[in-house]
Amino acid sequence: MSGRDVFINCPFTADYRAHFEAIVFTVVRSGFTPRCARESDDGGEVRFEKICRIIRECPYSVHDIAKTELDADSGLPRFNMPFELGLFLGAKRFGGRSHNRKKTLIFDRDRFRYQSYISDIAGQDIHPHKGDVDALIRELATWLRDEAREPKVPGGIAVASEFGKFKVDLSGIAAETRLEVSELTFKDLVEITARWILKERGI
Amino acid sequence: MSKSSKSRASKVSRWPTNAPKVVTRKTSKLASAKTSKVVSRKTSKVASRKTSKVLGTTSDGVRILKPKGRATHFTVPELEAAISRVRAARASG
Repeated sequence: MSGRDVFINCPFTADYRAHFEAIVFTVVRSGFTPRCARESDDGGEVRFEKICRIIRECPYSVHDIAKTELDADSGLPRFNMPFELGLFLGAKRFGGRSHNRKKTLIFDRDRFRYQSYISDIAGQDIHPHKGDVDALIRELATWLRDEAREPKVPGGIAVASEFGKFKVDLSGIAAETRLEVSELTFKDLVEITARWILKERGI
Repeated sequence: MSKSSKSRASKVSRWPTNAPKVVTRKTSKLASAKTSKVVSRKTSKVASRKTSKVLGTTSDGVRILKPKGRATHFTVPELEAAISRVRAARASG
C-alpha cells in the first residue's frame, strides 16, 4: 500500500468529465497519486478483482455518489459508486490493522440526499458540491491538505484557479497529440496533469 | 528474606532442575537472530514498494509524484513539447 494513493470512485460518463478531471488535477496538485478502475485495461483481470486490488493499495479514497440516479434508457439506478464505496468501507472495517486507518471523502449533490437511497451510511460526513466543479475542488483540496498535514499544499481556491487554466490548455495539448479530450485515457490524463503542473508551477 | 530474593526463589522453583538451560538460551538466541533477519528483509521490500517516486517539486514546495504506469497515446518528450507549444501560444495571446 503506497502512502499517497487516492482511490477515485466516480462516474466515467461524458457529463461528469469536467468533475473527473478536476478530481485528478486536485489529487496530483496536492502531492498524491490518483488511482481508479480505468487505470488498466487488462481483459484478463476481472473488474471486481481489479477494484479490490486498487482499494487494497490505497489508504485514501474519494467517492462521488451524486450520479446515483435513474438511467434514462433502462429506468434503473446506477449502483457502481455506492457499491465501491461499500467495498472501501468494508476493507477499512474488516481489513485488519493495515487498512483500518484508511480515510474516505464522500461527495453528493446535497448534504442529506443520500438518506433516501443509502441511509446505512448515516453518520458519515457527506460533502455537498451541488454539481459545481469549483466547490468540488475546494472541498477536496481542503481535505487533502488536512490529510497531507503539509501547509505547502495550496488551498482550494488557488487549486480551482489553476484548474481553470489547465482546462483551457488541455484541449490544445490533446489536439497537439492528435486526440480529442474525450479520447484521453486515465493514464494520459494523469501524465498530462503532472507534467503541466510542473511546467506551470515547477521550480 | 528480601522481596527480590523471594521472587527469584519462586521463579527458580517453577522450572524443572534438569532443564538444559544453555541449550534453551542458544536456541532462543538463534531463533531471535533468524527472526530479526527475516523481518528486516521484509521491511526493506515493503518500504521500497511504499515509496512513491517524485517527478518534480512545485515552486510552493509540493512534490508532484510520478504517475502509476505510462501514458497510452504519447511519449513524455512528445507531451512536454506539446505542453510547451500550448503554453507559448497562450502567453503570446
